[in-house]
Amino acid sequence: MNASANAKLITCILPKGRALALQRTLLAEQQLVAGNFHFGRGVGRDSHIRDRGIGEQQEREIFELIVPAQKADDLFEFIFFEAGMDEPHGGMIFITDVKMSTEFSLPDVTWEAE
Amino acid sequence: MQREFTVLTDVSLITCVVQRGKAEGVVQAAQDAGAQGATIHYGQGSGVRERLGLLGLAVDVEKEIITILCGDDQLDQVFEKMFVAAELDLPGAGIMYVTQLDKAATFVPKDIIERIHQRDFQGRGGVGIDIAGDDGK
Repeated sequence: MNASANAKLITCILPKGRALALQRTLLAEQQLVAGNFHFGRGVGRDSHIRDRGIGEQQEREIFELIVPAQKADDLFEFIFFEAGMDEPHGGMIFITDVKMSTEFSLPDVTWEAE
Repeated sequence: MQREFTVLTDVSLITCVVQRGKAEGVVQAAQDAGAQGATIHYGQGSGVRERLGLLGLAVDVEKEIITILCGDDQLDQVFEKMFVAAELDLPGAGIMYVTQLDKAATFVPKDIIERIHQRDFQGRGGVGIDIAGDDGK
């Protein structure tokens, strides 16, 4: 088994439609292939219909990526700006420690490059 | 161009798994206790339902998974309110746990950053902040 104990999990909660673009950017610019995303709904505190229950709910995409620990801070910053989280309602990002992770790499497929 | 962003420290992630349809009540309780927002997604679970036989029909196999980012200073209060709202003391009702985050970041308006700096100056606890940046390459 090829497992690493030196990894971090970066999680992003993004507005609908941003995760796929982020995944493609990470592949093209950082050669990272271990990103996955799933869908959910999010609610914020300052919603204008807050008085009618928990407030307005919007579709969200939750993007998760395992990265080597030594690259985690740089990628955290890269993703923050790349995914537009420096704007209001741009989502949020956080890092958690991972006790153990497997390595994930794709085989070279010659016909794909042609 | 120099870009800056605010890194939040002393933040934890609460994850709560409940039966489908119960999430809104739990999120409401968390917000009442001071949580800012929540994200909910769906899943399927197993557990006590499989051990209850016919009575297991009362436990919904479909789950809602709530994730809430919370400052460590509010964590105990939010956790407790969510526990009560989700009725997690009942068998099969769900499970909740807290993960410590290394750091988090989101858009934080300048007036809020100033308020946090004032709070730190006065020596009161809460979410820690740190201004990070890059050279925009």
